[in-house]
Amino acid sequence: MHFKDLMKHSNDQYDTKNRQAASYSDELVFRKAKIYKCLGPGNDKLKLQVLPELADLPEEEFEDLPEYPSFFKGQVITGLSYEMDGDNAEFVWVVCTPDLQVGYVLGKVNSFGEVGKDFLESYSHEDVEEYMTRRRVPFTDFDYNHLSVINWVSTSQGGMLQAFNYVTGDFVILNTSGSVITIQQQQIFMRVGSPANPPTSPTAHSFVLLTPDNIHIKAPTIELDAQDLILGKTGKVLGGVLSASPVIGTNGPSVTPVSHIHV
Amino acid sequence: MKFSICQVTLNKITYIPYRSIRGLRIKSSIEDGLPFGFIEINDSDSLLLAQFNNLQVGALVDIVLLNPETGEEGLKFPPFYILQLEGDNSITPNIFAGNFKIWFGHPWFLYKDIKNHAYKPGNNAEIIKKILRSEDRGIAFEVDNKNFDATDDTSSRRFKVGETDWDFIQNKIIPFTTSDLQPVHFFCSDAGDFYLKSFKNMYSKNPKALILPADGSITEAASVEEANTICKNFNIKPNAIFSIIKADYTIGGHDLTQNFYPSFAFEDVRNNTQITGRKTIKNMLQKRSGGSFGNILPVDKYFMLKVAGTSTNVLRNRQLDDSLYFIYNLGKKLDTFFKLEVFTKFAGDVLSIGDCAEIFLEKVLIQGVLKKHWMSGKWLVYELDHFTDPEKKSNQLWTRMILIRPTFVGNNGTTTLGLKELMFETV
Repeated sequence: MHFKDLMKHSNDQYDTKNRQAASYSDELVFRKAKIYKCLGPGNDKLKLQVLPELADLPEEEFEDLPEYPSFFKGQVITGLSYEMDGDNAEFVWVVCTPDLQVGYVLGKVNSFGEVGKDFLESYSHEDVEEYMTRRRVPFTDFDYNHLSVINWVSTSQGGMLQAFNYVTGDFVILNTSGSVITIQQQQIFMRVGSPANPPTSPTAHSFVLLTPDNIHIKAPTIELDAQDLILGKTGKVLGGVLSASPVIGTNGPSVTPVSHIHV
Repeated sequence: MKFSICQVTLNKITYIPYRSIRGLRIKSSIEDGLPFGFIEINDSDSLLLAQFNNLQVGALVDIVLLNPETGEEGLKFPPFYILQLEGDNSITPNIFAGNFKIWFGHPWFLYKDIKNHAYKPGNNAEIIKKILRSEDRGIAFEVDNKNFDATDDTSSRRFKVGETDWDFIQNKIIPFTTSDLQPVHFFCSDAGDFYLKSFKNMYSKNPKALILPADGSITEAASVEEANTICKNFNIKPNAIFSIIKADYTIGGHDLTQNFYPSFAFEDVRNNTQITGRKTIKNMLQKRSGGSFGNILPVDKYFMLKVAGTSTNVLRNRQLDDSLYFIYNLGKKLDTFFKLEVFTKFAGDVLSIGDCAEIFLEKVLIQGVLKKHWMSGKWLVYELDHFTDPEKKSNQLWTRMILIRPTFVGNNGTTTLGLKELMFETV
């Protein structure tokens, strides 16, 4: 063997064509795409600028961009679009043929972040935990390492967090307004509004807390709109005075059964 | 008319001296798509190389041919561009005097549009025309509508992404393009004309040349009369009659036998329907009868009845129309089932690729009956290769041509090529 043969190496790695799937391949490839337009009710597809392939497409050809449906049946994905929101347009993951003829939308794109630095797109567990504590969300184990976040979003208009504790099975949906639903081992909690934000000036809020032996309902007003209201099992009905104002009389008020309230 | 090299001019400035030109070759082919060639130059005093006048890659190459007997200027090729330079110093090594070769080619080898585009759903032929006429690549090409068949597909958007316009057409349009469900060929002739045509449509044209066996080999008066009739019927002038200097032929081949009985599997992504099937050649060879060759592909029917399949074609993630057009395109290879390589005097002033030529051989006495030779008849010019013969030290040009057709054509001039859409039947 000649010395040259020992030193021989391929330069194919610099041939960018060899680094790509064949442009005519029938296999699906994974691509990032910017949402150009949500095609709306009755269509549900997204018109997408697949990147970097279509990065420098002339703007007058944007209407001819590829249109892909959601990858899984039963899902509809929408987002901020270039047409409506300009540079704030969101990115989605797509799988498509290299010639972009056929493709599907998987979901929103996460950023990769910088190597060795904190991930700026973090859902900020500590802030959320503090937020939940201040708003008295009764979620017992919010340990970061026990928590799977299914989805979270935060915009200037609001946000939400959907997560579950994979140790206990507890589940929480939290809205930045303070509204929350939890399904936990020993309770189900639902609340709208915030009990204390800041603690010195509580805002109006209401909640329902279900435990195995108690249902606690709290609200500035509680309305029960029912034909029959059952408050107990004595077999009797509530007696009352039919008047819009307090009744004080020398002959005594006339007590009338309220037949649709059972006690 | 004989032709030899007349003038080669680089960038319209530097004339290559006639005596310095050792050889010329210009090749155009339906398969390659774009014409290219080379000039061999004898630079005995190293002056051309030393000056390096317009010898750069990208310099314009103008070639005009000359009639050596009259000195008359003849055929002028469309402008080519230098693609590569190579040489030796075999004459006087110490001054780098030797022979060098200038490779040149169609402008599209160098002028390429790499901009991305999204093309509206529409006729694929119109997309190709739009690309050719575009000046985005720095040079626009002329399109003659009559050279373009109307194509079938109208339903798909096409996306040109991160590739040249040539690659886009070849990889993403042509595989899904048919005309009347016939595969189409896209190419440029050495005259600079672009074509998008099916074999069937190209073959429907009258022959432009008559090709005869070696001079003097047609002796029968009836044969001479028949050849004259062909010239008269098709208006073939004396300068378009060529004698065969040498000829070779090939029938079949690996790529072709793979397409005798292909199976396919694809899907319709619109409703997730899976489709499988097979196609077999319908026009199989059957018994000759009378003067007929059977008008069919030379594939043995007995073999075709026994074979289980010859290839599989699996298409995934394609729209139904694209899959179907792709399957129709599989028949393209069978266009070259018969391949005839013929050497003649220079034919570039008469024939271009995509033209038809008539071959005429005398009838043959078979079992007491005069029968038409299967090779006689119309053929499609698939490749033209004009060259000077370096052994003869002459600048006279010759032509090597490849002629093709998919089936026998016989039986008093009738042909079943008109039924080529029925070449395959789905089973």
